[in-house]
This record gives sequence, structure tokens and C-alpha cells, in this order.
Amino acid sequence: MKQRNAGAYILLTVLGIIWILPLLWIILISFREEPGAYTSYFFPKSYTVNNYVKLLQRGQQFDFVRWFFNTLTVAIFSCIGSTAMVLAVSFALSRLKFRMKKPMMNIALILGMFPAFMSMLAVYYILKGMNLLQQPLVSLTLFYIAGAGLSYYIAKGFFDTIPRSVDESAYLDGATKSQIFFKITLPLSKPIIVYTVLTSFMTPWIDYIFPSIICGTDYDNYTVALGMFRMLEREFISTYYTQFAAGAVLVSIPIGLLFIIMQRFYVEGVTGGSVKE
Amino acid sequence: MNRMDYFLLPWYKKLWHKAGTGLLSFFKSIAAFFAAIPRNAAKSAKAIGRGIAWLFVTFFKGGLRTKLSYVIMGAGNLFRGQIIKGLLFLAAEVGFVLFIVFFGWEYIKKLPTLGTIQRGWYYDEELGIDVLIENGDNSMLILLYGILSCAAVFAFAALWAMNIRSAALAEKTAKLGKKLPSFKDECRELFDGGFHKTLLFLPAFGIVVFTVIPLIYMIALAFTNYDRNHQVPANLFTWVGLDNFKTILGTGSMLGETFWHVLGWTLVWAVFATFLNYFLGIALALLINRKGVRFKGFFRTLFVLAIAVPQFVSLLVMKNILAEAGPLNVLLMEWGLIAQPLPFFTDPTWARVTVILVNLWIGIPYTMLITSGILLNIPADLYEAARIDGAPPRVIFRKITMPYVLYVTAPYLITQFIGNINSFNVIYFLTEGAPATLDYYQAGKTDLLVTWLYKLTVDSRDYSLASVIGILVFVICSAISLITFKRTKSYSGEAM
Amino acid sequence: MCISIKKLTASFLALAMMTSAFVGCNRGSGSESDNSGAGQSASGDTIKLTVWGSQEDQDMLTQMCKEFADEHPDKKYAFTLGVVSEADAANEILKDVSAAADVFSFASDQIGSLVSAGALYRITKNRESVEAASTEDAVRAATVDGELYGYPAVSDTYFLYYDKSKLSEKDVQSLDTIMQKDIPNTKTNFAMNLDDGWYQAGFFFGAGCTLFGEDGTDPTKCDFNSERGVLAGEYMIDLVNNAKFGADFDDSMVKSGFADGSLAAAISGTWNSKEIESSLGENFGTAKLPEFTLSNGESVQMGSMANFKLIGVNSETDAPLDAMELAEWLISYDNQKLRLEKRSFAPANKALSEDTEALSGKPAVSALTEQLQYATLQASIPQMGSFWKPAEAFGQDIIAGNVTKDNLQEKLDRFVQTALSSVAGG
Repeated sequence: MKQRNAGAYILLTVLGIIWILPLLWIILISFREEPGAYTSYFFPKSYTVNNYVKLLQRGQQFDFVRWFFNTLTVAIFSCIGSTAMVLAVSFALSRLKFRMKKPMMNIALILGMFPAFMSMLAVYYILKGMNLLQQPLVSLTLFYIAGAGLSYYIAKGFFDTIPRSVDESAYLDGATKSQIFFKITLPLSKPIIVYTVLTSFMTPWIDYIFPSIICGTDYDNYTVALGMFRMLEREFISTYYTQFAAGAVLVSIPIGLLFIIMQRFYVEGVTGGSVKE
Repeated sequence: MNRMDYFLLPWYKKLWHKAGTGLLSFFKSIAAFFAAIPRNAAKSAKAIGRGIAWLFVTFFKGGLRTKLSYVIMGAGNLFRGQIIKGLLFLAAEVGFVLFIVFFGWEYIKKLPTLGTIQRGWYYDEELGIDVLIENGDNSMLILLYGILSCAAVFAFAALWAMNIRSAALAEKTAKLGKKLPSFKDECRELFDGGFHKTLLFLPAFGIVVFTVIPLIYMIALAFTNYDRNHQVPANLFTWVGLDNFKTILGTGSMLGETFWHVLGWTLVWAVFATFLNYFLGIALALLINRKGVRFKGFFRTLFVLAIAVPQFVSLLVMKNILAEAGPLNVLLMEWGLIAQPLPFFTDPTWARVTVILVNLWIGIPYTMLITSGILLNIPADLYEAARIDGAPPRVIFRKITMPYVLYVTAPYLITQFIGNINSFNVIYFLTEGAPATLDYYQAGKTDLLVTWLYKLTVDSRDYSLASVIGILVFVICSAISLITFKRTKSYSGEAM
Repeated sequence: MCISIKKLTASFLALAMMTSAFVGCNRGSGSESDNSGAGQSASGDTIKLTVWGSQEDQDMLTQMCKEFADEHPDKKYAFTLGVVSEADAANEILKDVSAAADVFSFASDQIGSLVSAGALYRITKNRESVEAASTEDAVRAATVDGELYGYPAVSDTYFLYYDKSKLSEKDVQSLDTIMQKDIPNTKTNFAMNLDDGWYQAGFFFGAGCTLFGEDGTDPTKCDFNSERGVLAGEYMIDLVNNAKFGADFDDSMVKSGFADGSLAAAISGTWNSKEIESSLGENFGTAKLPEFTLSNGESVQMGSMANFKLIGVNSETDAPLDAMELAEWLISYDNQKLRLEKRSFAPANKALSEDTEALSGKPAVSALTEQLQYATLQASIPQMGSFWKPAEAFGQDIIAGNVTKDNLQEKLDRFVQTALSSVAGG
């Protein structure tokens, strides 16, 4: 048994190195002193923390700290709003009976199959019609919240697993539907609330396409993903590549941690709540 | 299988069953949706007909106050003491009229032509320069805001019908001599019997404004000639019917040829990306979860780290690592293994293999994560029973582990497949479709339909063509989910 | 009841606000032009102007705008600067013309699509003086259908950078000599971005081909697939097959190649001169592009594509007169000189481009000026926009080995067909 496991260890180690190496490499680059995207050698000739220092300096054209707080603001507001939306929709579709429920669910599923960014330009002009384009961050938040209702099925699946008998006994005690939602279902749904909060919190950090359409040239209102993508454009890449690496490390740490925290809920969600660790 | 059979199943089979129904219902509902379109259409036509008939009957049978509500919304409630409700209806009407007069009508009126007055210049004596004429039409805004206004009209029609129903109900209640519900009562009702309305109002509003209307706009574009030769604001575009579909689906033009080629590669990509990820991910999970392997948590976290990093970071890093002058080539050349850099992104075949491999790097951890969760949950007494029966490990794996994993993850597999057809990030961040080729129209050898669509919108502003492709992508996705759903159903032979 | 009335008022207010938002927007989008007059006459108000330029130009633009405001003490200006590089200008502007900057800088190849979408203000004020001050080619690049649409600011093309420790002044006269040389410690003798139509066209132009007719205005003409075009294509195929040629070198690779000494010569533009000069030090060399020998034995001078950076005025600007004045200011003799000194940008101003004293001491600019006589002006018709993708595809097809001497003619036919296609289906 031991010998066969030795093979498994070797294989796992080799695979682990392949998987982790690109991440180690970007950390390495973030400490490289020589600028430029490419070098003709693998290991940096000298190391520095200046990339981080420069990146975190305030008030320059590429104001990473500002972008970071922009994204954080959008993330906080949109995760509050999105979570409310998702929970409301999931509860209604899971627990309440009303006309048009089936068609509504079907339409929601169908909507998810169109390539979304096709309609981004239309969203841009709708936001413009609402005079919201001057505040790109508000627009972003609004957009993330507005679309959240569509990703209801994981939370709905979770609500479906809560026994109905709990609701029924409450009805007998004269509880209203809203009381059941707030006093019974929500307290029982901690895992799915955590999952929804975390996923919607992460969206603004990793979304690139929509901010790129909304934010335009207004560098002060960029999100981290958009701003860092800008650093890699032709005219900036040789100066900013190492700073990009530093930024990548700084963004990846909190997002990575959140992801690792929520991986358990992710598994539950995808397998329809049938798997619990 | 009927309900009784289900109860007689051993408990683990029940679990399988339950798990399968979760996401499977996703596809089931899509299939049902399309199957039911004709029936539903007839049904809703009937319902609408009944509604209109009811509106007429109510008008003639109703009292003065009800009749008045047909013109002045809220009258039926207002004059029966339901002041707030009545005023709210009235306010909605005033708001709507203002909206239509000052905004909506302007656009709805022009929808059939998408504008006729081309923007032009005239010479302004006072300023000494040319000035734009004031009333030029902008086809794009006419289309978008026209659709928006039409949606507002529909919403208002629904509200109007609600107003009449409310008036008729008020009349009926009053006739019976009962007390009408106060505003407070009705608000309370919104948190009990009508709680779904409260819950769904905002989400539905958001989805209609930011998803449905843009989508209708996009679909409408496919029937116009809004391409690079008809750019707003200086030019007008107009309806062209099915011309764009003919161009793309036809085989004579280069565009049509490109479409079929890109579609082919998209499907090949989706098959490889999905199934390789799936089976290799399961293999990895089995390896980590092997009996006797220690540091399970450590290894799992190691692989999960790769997907915990935001994709725009990890993919851009991968792109750089594999670039011609990137560190991998540098390292291999430093070690003297190769003399020339490997053409990861420049040779078409290499590039296609590269994107699939990089996608493995991102995808395998996901499958591994899910499979690990499932493996831990396979009931231990299943194994116990098998071992008592003397089944060798190989048989246990084939008869218990694999079927269990496959069953639970089958719906995941289908969603992954569709997700891969629409996989924008991997291609966009990694290759942007490169290497480009003269064989294709505005597309590269690694372009998927979605990234090609993106290029057509952003780079060449051929919006109408991009919309056609968007619609086709949708048709393909829903067709696949229809077919796979039917297969899954017949394969398992179960329906609850 | 009191509370309910409050609620009611609140909902009325909300409704009114929503409506007014839409009505307001209607006004804004429907009748922008009548504001333009108003903005002009009210001299006491602050005039708001948005200016777009590339990242590296930001400081310089700030300075120029400040001086412009100082020149006009009678008016109050408020400038907002945005970062949009000349290459991305058309994409960003055409997304929403009314939201784009009042004054922006763009590359002259975009002028066709910008004009056809109606994004550029036609210049009638001081047209003669602008035309008189600028070089003839620059005016041609800024003119569409006989109308002037841009203020020429910078004249641009590409030329050869080389490392004097690796190549002599004589070596760089001929590409064949450069390629034949065995240079110690050097991986790449000559590098360029072959899959970029802007550089790639140098070979075609060198062989004597034309794009969009002799004067670049005929959207149905391109003879890259002629006999001469095939000769150019064959030369490119041979070049790519030579291990000492770097076919896919973008700016950052060129810079790092010179910095670590693995590169001997490369084609690039003035925007990289500072960094290359600082890494090569006294070995920094520039020259016009070399000659190359076609397979029929004929030696030709490599051509190049000439481009101009133009300043445009948004057709939907609220203050057209001020915007035009600012644009004119940005291309004044003094400001072009400032560009030359700060950014090594070659002037489009006639007087300045003939001022040899001002140009001396800028090796990059003098190489550029020398190359300009072999350069072909980039076409200013919208069709130009259809050229880049097939050129990129042709380049990448060569690099990938999909284009061979056997199928070259067929591929070139395809190239030309795509570049000339008017409708997407063509």
C-alpha cells in the first residue's frame, strides 16, 4: 500500500507544482526590480518592494488605492442589494404559490442563455437616459443588483430542502408569510446567505467587461480589474508590468481567501444541496 | 416510476434521485418551455381575449364611478373612500401621460422607420462656422428608447386593467354592503397573501430594465442594417428583415464560411474543455482522496488556489508565461531544451491546444472540488456492504463510486458544456482569438462565437451581424440543453 | 391620515423626478445643437472643455491648456483631461459621440470612420491659416472629400533603431546585410511587428504596391496581390524562416531586447526613443529603413506608412468656437516645438519641420524625417478601417507557416478581397 501511495505523492507533487508555479511566478515578478514585461532570464536580477510602494502611492494617474476602495464600495453595496434580491426571488419561487410562477422561472432560465455583453451597449444608453453615467460606480452597483435576481436557483434549491412542515406549523399559529420569511426561513439559511453574500461581493472584483463600457475614460472611477487591465496596454506595459504584478498579488489575497472560505458552499450549490461536508 | 416505487427505494437511491432532480429541473423547464410555446400562446391569447371581453362587460354593467375609472384612473377607488389607492392610480396615470407626451411618443412614432431625417449642417452667420441642424434623427436611440417606451406602455396597460379591476371590486363590495379595505389593510396584505408581489417587484423591475429590454433591443438589431456603414449619429439605419441571417447562414459569403468554421471550433472546444476537465478533475479528486494519502487538505487547497485568484489575473499571467518571449520559453531555452521559442499562441494548432490546456489548469480544480465533496458523502455502509459481499476494490469503484459521482454531477456537466460554449474570459484574456487568419472574416483561429461577436461589436461595429450571432448562440445553447435533457431522461428512465 | 398625505406627496415627487429625468435626457439628446449657441454668447460663464490625449501626453496637455487659459483672460475655462490613446480614439468616441471629449487627439487613419459617423466638426474657421501652417501631407491626411476635419499635430512614421556596437552605419543600409551578419551574443538581428499592417505595409510599399489607389482615396483599389506584391510576400516568407528575424516583436520586446543586448536592430517609432536611447547609451543608432533585395535581384528601398496625429473637435460639442480655438492652440508652432522637445514627436508644422536647427540633436526625429520621403500617406477613407484585420491575419498566417510560396498568390488575393470588402458579406 505504501509503495503505491509513493507514486500518488509524486504525481500529486508534480501536478501541485504545475498548478502553483504561475502564481509563484507572479509573486516573483512583483518583487522584480527591472521593469518591462519580458526579460531574457527567468529569475529577476535584483529584488525590491518598490513596486508595491509605487503602486500604493496616492494621487497618481494609476491610483490603485482609489480603485481598490471604489471596488470595495461597489462590492459592499452590491452585495447587500444582490443578496436581498436573490433571497427575495428564491423564497418567492420556492415557498409561495402564485399565478405565473412557472412561466416566470422559465423565462429567467432562458434569459441566462443569451450572451450577456451583447446587450451592454443598450444598458449603457439606458443608464445614460437615467442620467446615471456621471456616477459610474452607482451605475455599476445598480447593474449588479438589478441582474442578481436571475441567479436564484442555488438559493432556491436550498430553500426547497427546508421542510415545509416548519412553515405549516407557523401558519397554524397565525404567522403571516412575511413573518415566516423573516423569522423562520432566513435564520435557517445561514449557509446560503453566506454563499450569496460572498459571490456577489466578488463579482465587482473580477468583472472587466461591464466596467470597461461604463467607466470610459474616467480613471478616478475605475474598478481594480479595469484599472489593472489598462496597465497592460501597449503604451504602459513596459513601465507598469511589475506594478501590475504587485496589484495582482494584492487583489488576489483577499479574493482568494474569500473563495477558499466559500468553496464548501460552492460545492453544495452546484450539486443541488445534496452534498454537505 | 411512481411515488410508491420511490418510497420503496433504499435511502441512498433516494438521495441520488433527489440530487439529480436539482439542476436537471433546470433543463427540464427549458424543454418544457419550448414544448409549451404553442399551447401557451393559444392559452394566453384566450386569456387576453377573455380579459378584453371582461373589460367591455364591466364597462357597460358598472356604475358611473367604475365607468369613470376607464378614463380617470383611480376614480372608482377615490370616490369610494379609498383615497390613497385612488390617488396612487391617478398619479401613475399623470406620470405616464407626461412620460409619453414628453418622451415616449417621440420615439414610438419613429419606430417603424427608425428615423427619416438625416443629421446635417448649416452655416451659422453669427458664429461664422457650421452648426448641426437641430432635429436630426438618431436611429439607435429611437430603437432603444422606442422599445423602452413600448415596455412602459405595456406596464401602464397592466396597471390600467388593475385599476379597473380594483374599481369593479370596490363597487361589488360596496353593493354587498361590506366595508372596503383601508390602505393600511392592503399594505398589510402585501406582506401576507400578496407577499410574492412585494418580494418580486424590485427584482422583476431590475431584470426588465437591465436585462429584458436590452435583450429585445439586441434581438431587434439583428433585423436592421446597423453596421459600420450605417454609424450613428450621422447616418440612419433601418429595418432589413432577414437579410443578415441570410448573409451569415449562407455559405457563399466569407462571413457565412467563417460562421460555420467558428461554430465548429466552438463545439470542439466545448467538448474538449468540458469532458477533459470533467474526467481529469474526477481523476485528481480520486487521487487526492485515495485511502492512505495524507495531507489531503493541503493538496486540495493547493489546487483551489489556482481558481481562487481572479481570472483576469491568472489568465493574463498565463498569457505572459506562454508568450514567445515569456518565462517558459526563456527557461526552456536557458536549459538548452529548445533552440526556438515554442509557438504557443502563433501556430493555430498549438494555440488551440494551448487554450484547452490552460482551461484545464482553471477547470480541473473546480471538478476536483465538487467530486471531493461528493466522494466524502458516499454512504460508508454502501462500501461496507460491498466489502462483506467480497467485491474487490476495482468492482467497488466501478459499481459504486463512479455511478454515484456521475449521477450527481451529470447536470453540472451539461451546465459546464453550455458555459464553455459561452466561455468568453479564457479566450479573450488568453489569445484574443489569435492567431488571426485570412480564411476568416474578422476572426482568429481560437475565436469562439462569443469572442467573435465581441470583436464584431467593439472592433468593427457591425452590430447587426453580431446580434445575429448572439441569437444563433442562444438557439444552439437551448437546442443542446433540450437534446441532452431528453437523453438524460430516457437514460435514467425516471420521471418524478 | 397626515402620514398618508406625506407618503403621497413623496410618491408624487418621486414620480415627477423620474419623469423629469427622462424628459431632461430627451432634451439633452434631441437638441444639443441649440445649446451650442447659448454656451458661446454667455461670456461670463465658465466654459467647460474636455480634452482627450494619450497617457504620456497628460502633463504636456495640462500645461498647454493652462497657457491657453492664460492667453484668454476674458473667459473662464475649466478643463477636464481624459486618457484615451490616439489609437483607441475612434473606438471610444464612436461608442457615444455626445459623451466624448470636446477636443481629442486621434490617429489619421481613423478620420474616415469618424467623419462617416459624424463625430468630427468640419473646420471652416481659420481653415486657410491652419492649412498654410501645416505640411502638405498633413493637410491631405486631415481632409476628407475636400473638407478639413482635423488639426495636424504630429507627423509620424517608423524607422530603424540599431545597436552601434553590433552593426555599422553601412550595415544598416541593407536588410540583407543585417540578416547575413553573424553577431556574437545576439539572438535577433532584426525585429519588427510583422502582423501589424502599419509596419508590414513597408514591404509592400517598398516593392511598389499601392493601397487604395495612387492617392489613397479609391476604396476599390489595392494591388498587394500584384506581381510586385508577390515579390514582397516572398521576401517576408524568407525573412520569417530566418531564425535571426524577430517577426512578432511588440514594443516591450523591442525595448527589452535592446536592453539585454539580444537584439541588433528593430523597426519602431519615436515614442520608444527615450527608453531605447537610455538602454543603449552611446551605442544608440537610428537610420532610415534599409533597402532589401527582391527575388528577382532588384534592390528596393523599404517604404513605410506615414501617419499623423490630428486634433479633432467633437461635432456635438457645446462650445464649438472655444473648442476650435483650443485645438488650434494645441497645434501652434510653439506647442509643436514643445512636443518635439518633450516627446521627440516630429512636427506637422511646415515651418518647424523645415527648421533644421530645432530638429538637430534628436537622432530619432531626423531618422524619421529621412524616412518620410519614402513613406506613403495613410489613406483617409473609411475603408482604411478594413485594412488592419486582414493585414494582421496575413502577418500571423505567415508566422504560423500557413502562407507558403505556393499559396502566396491565393492568400494575397484573399487579403486584398477582405481589405476591399465594402459590405461585411463581401
